[in-house]
Amino acid sequence: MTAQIIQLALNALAAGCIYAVVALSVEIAYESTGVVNFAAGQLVTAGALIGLSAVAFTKANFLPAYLLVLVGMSLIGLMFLIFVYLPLRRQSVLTIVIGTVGVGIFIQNVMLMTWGPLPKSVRSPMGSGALKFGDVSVSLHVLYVIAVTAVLIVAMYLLLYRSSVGRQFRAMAQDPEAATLMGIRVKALYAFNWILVCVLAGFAGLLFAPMWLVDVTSGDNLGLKAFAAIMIGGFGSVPGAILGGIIVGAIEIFGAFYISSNFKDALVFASMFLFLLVRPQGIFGERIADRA
Amino acid sequence: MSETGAPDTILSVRALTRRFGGLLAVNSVDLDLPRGQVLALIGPNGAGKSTFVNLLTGVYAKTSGSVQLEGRELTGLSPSAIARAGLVRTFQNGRLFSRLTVIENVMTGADGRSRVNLFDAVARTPRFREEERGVREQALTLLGELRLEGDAERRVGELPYGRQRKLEIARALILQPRILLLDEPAAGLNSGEVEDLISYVSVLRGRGLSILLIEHNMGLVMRLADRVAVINFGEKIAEGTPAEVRNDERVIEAYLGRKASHAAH
Amino acid sequence: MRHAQLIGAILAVVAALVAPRLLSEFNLRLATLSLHTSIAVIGLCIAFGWTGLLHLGQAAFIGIGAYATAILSTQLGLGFWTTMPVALVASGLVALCIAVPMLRLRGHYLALAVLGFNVTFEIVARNWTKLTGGFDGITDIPPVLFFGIEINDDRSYYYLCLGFVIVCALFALALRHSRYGRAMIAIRDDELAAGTSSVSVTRMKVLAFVLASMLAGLSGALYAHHATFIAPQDFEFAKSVTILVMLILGGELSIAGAILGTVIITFLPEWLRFLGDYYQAVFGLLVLVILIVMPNGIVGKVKQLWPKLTGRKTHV
Repeated sequence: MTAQIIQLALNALAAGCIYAVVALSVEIAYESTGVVNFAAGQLVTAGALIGLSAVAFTKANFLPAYLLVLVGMSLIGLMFLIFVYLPLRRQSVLTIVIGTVGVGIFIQNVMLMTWGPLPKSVRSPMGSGALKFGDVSVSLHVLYVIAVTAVLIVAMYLLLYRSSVGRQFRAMAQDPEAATLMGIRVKALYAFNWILVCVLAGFAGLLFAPMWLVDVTSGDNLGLKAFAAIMIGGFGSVPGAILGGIIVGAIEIFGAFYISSNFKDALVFASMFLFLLVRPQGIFGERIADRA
Repeated sequence: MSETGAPDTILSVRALTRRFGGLLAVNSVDLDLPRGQVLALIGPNGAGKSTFVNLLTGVYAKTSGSVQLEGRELTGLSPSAIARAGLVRTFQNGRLFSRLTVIENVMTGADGRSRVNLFDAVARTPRFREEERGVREQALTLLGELRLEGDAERRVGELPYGRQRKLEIARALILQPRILLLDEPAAGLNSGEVEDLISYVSVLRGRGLSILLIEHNMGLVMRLADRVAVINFGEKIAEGTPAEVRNDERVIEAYLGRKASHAAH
Repeated sequence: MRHAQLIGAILAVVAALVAPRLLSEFNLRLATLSLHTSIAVIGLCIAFGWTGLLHLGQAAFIGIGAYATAILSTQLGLGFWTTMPVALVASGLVALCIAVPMLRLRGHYLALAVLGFNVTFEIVARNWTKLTGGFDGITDIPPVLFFGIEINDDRSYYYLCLGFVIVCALFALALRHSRYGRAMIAIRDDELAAGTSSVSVTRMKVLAFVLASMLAGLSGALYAHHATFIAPQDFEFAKSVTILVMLILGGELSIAGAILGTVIITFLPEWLRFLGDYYQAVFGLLVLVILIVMPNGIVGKVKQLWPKLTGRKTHV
């Protein structure tokens, strides 16, 4: 009984970590540009599928494979910047948000033409082994996901709060005009922003791919869960995005086990809705009533 | 109700305070607007004028204090409820509805006193037609007073800046407010337009409208205001007639302090 | 310009009246599909085009309308004129329950909550097998009776839908030229100034959202009786996106644009059949091109170019 709960909890934590990474990607785009990135899910799929090909290309040599994914996702980020964000930047945020929806459709269908519709399995660098502690059996990949997420979060923290790029980035997020006046190269930072957004989503894809089979629609669901995570954690809060991701993972895994696996996603959204009724600003979000 | 001010006070502000994090943007400000007069609120940039206006009009929530319009508490109401209660504002940087025509902009200002419901509007009932005609006529009258009648069917974006500012005043007046709050109405106007503005505000005052004028252009204030209140660093530092305030040392220091100390060095 | 609009509207109605005589059976079905879909797009015009609510869940409300009428007519044997009002009320009530809490929050909360709702709706429709038939959906939805006459041929159903579209378009036009249309457009242009100009912002938003969703419900009821068969995948999130694209292609402010955009996007897969598997990717690109090249849609572009086309000045 306890063994089962521990196992479920670890699986929930791993799923939650992946949602947290996607949520972090969405949150960064929102903080710096005000845009809710509806293409997040498709970017996750792109990371997973590029990872699939990269692992095959490098003959399961994971370090160069991961680097290839990094490069691929950065290119997608740059293309998004050049072909979508910069041309639409002067229009309303709503227009850019709809632009991200278009990007999502485009990426998804380019992937469909490249990789085809069939689900594929992606290998984990940890192989398919499991650790046993008494009755508890934990797959190595689950532990790997938790460890990599922790490293990613620390790296993001150092990048955003302990580096000069991060300081400039946060200055731009607060007030792009003032940042321009201060001599900050805003365009370069926008490039940094969209590359970061795409790379984070891509990493989430690499982490989730070995847990389930991957097809071109797999990421859609992760994007939705990331949105739920952010609403629960509170828009405008990075710790909120992470905690929200873990809560969503817990609702999903425990809900699937104890209530209904068919309705697990519905449970996530229903909980999110109820949560917002009680605490509309999310766990860490700004107090909405005070804002103009 | 004696603490809400003298009977001829239409708007009374008591100990109004707003804190942003550690910063006291508005600190325990008291202010009385005498009925039918023009009260100017002045202060250097960043003194807290904008925050004060946003507190009065429900854009920001107060931290503490009260605002009463003829004894009715306004804090805690939504911006639209405050407008319906009789306190209507314009904006410093001119905020109009760009996808509506000029006359539609003005008519939107009358939404708060509309008596028609969805059914009336869709079925075009007599009640709807009558109200719509009335609101349109009032809007045209106001546009006429501001010499904008020729622009009624134009898009807002086609108007030069000076006329956009006037349009905002028309949009505020159509609700027939008891208090008009003008937030830096002269900003960006040329001298001819400022003269127009001064004479129109005088006309409104002549009709008995109470006006709260937020400005930092002292010339305009001296010509229009019956009373002047000065705030700096979120606190009221002086209040009186324009002549009194002009000679108040704290005011001179607030406005000229830095310049004076530069000169001394 | 005003005369041109009136003449355009009359021409469009005449064209719509004679169209069934000219169209092939297949194209007639597409035309009917675009008619009842355009009712949902008119709804989105009110909620998004005017009021600025990013309502990415119209498909779910079409679904509520479709399932409501399908379940009531197949299980209880009720007629369309009973089930259709129920479909309207059901979609309106669900919309109200979502809107009231969400609209007190900032804009993107509604967008994401409605997206979540759309996905939840799909899950429930797939898994509540007793009520919805699950993956298999509901079949044999009976035809509409019109004053006792069964409307079971495509041409009659086309005219029925045309009638509904005209009524809905007139409804939306009346709304546009009243305090409601002005207030809603003001809210998207400048929400803060709308509030201080005495517009009850939240109430207007709730109204816009509920009306949009009710129109989607009506659209769904007409869809169900047209298709005679419905299944969960007819109402998935992708369809909500398509509906949004229909609106922005036509012009988000304009009811005529909403209808025009719907017709074009409905026929587009046919016209672009030569693209094969590339169609969806091209569709995604199309969205971006519209946003960049003509952010106000076809109607906006025509209005912008009108003075040049006619060689006249903008204002009369």
